[in-house]
Amino acid sequence: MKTAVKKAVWRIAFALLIAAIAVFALAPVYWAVVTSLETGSDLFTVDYLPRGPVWSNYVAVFERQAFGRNILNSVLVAGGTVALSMAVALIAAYALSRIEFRGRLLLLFTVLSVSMFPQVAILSGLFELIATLGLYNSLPGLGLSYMIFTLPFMVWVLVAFMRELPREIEEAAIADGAGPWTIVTRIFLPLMMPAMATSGLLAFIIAWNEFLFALTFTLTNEARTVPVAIALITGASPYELPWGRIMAASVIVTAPVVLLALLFQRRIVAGLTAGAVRG
Amino acid sequence: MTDVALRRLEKSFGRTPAVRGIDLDAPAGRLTVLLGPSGCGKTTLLRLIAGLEEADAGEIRIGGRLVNDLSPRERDVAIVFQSYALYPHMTVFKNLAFALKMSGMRRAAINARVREVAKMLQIDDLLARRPRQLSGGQQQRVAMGRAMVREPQVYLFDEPLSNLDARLRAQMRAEITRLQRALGTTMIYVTHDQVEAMTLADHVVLLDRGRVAQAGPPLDIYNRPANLFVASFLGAPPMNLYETRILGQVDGAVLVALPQGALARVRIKGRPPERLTPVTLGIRPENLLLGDAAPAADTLDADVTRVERLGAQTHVVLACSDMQLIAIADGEARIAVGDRIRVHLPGSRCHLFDIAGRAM
Repeated sequence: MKTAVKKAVWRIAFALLIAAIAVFALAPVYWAVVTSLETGSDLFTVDYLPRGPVWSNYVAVFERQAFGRNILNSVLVAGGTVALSMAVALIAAYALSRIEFRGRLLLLFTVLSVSMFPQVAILSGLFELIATLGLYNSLPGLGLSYMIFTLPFMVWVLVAFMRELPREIEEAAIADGAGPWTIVTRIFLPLMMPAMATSGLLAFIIAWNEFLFALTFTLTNEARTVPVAIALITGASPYELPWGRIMAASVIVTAPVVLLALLFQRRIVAGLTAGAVRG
Repeated sequence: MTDVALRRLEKSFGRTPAVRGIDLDAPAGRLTVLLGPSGCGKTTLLRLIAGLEEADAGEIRIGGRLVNDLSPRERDVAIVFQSYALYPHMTVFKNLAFALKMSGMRRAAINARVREVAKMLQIDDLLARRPRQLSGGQQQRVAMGRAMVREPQVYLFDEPLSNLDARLRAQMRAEITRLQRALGTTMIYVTHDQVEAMTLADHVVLLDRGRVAQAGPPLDIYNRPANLFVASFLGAPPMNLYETRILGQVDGAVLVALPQGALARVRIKGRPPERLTPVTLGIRPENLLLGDAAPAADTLDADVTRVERLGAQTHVVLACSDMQLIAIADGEARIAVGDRIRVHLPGSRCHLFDIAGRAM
């Protein structure tokens, strides 16, 4: 009897802990959603449920500025960065994990060290580079700068994953007459989908949320991505911060990431645990 | 019909030599088994023939053609791996079709060929499945099928049965023999299992630390081992070995000293060695004569120290002064530990090895 009570107490305590963590993690998101559905002075009263939800903020986000254009920019930059990183990282991972050459380890660590510098440290140098290449205030310029941090970690994840793939599968393909390109695209790529999905999604989130480079390397609203656009949303006067619109914009840009994560959920889990139970 | 010939082949990994000057002929249309303990270089040798490793020196000829610098595909060989190495993301059909697709064969032809091979291997009802949905034996068949669809000049097998249980292994052994007879293609088969080697091989090449210890038909090697390594590697329980000396010669046979003053009369090929030359005498357990089967002369008295009953036969461990012997008796033999039993070593069944381990 006593143990049953004890068990129940533990269970309740555990449930409370989980609830606390969930509230802590989700409250800001919920607050953003609630705020985005309010206008005027309602914004500044504490409501746990929106008072008669109004959608005017969402309409205003698109009407008052080129927010649609910003979203498109973000999609293009993040999508392009991910696609290009995946392609380059896959090929690089094949070379780094399967081909023996001098300086392989040195190269691998050089790749890693590229991503170690804080963004601010490379900002001015990178600005010069992008300006010289004529990519200032353009989406390719942003994509290029994002690959500085997406590529190294993708290469590392894929190298680690590819090393786990049995060598004999590759050799069987070689004996079957497949060249390196066929092996990478027809044999390795399908086997690495979990790793590709995981690292691809992380890269997407990084590129989607990136602020500092996006702010520095763009000048006009036509080239801006969503995080910068949100930060630069202004009200009617310099003394007004349009919280409703800012929150509406925030909710809009959070949605795709959540959607992607849900979509790839199973593959991500498979990717995170692969290698641990392979065999 | 294609034979495989290796000449003075060498391969090292870093400073570790794996293959040290191997000459080898795998006759055309026959099954050659590369046999040896682990680390003897047999798998390396197979990979060299396949083109998965590059030789440091020497020649590899397939059908007379020098293939050292050719890719695996150009060598026209197919490999069956120990782990099967099936493509996990492809169905059985696609696994089988992959090589054909790579060679640019037309779809209809691929379809026909894959189905033909699948039927031959009795996996035609599994074509839509993926490798992980198959049992070990079925995966094994798919691996063989993947090699067969291409109709290669030479098949290379790398311990293909080692992941199967004993029953399935026996079944697949029979299957491989049947396929080999049906296809009539040259096959090279690597194994460390002497039962596989004896049952499958037309030709056995026994390897020891990167060198050929002996090559020939399986029974020749079993009955006439060229050296101590071959003698002790083949046979289970292994050949009994006893270090002793030559005492003299009579009628073209040499007299070899045994414990208790007994003698063994052994015929040898070469010139009879001098008196008191140290030699190793070898005799297989099944060739010892026990009890009433032993003749009156030159018989030893031995103590039975251990009896292992296997059902069909009994292994008897004997101690005879400083000589240890293992003998094979009937399954029902009335022998018990502690018995004293008479043993005879028939000279015609004895092998003699000189101090360097070479057969005399």
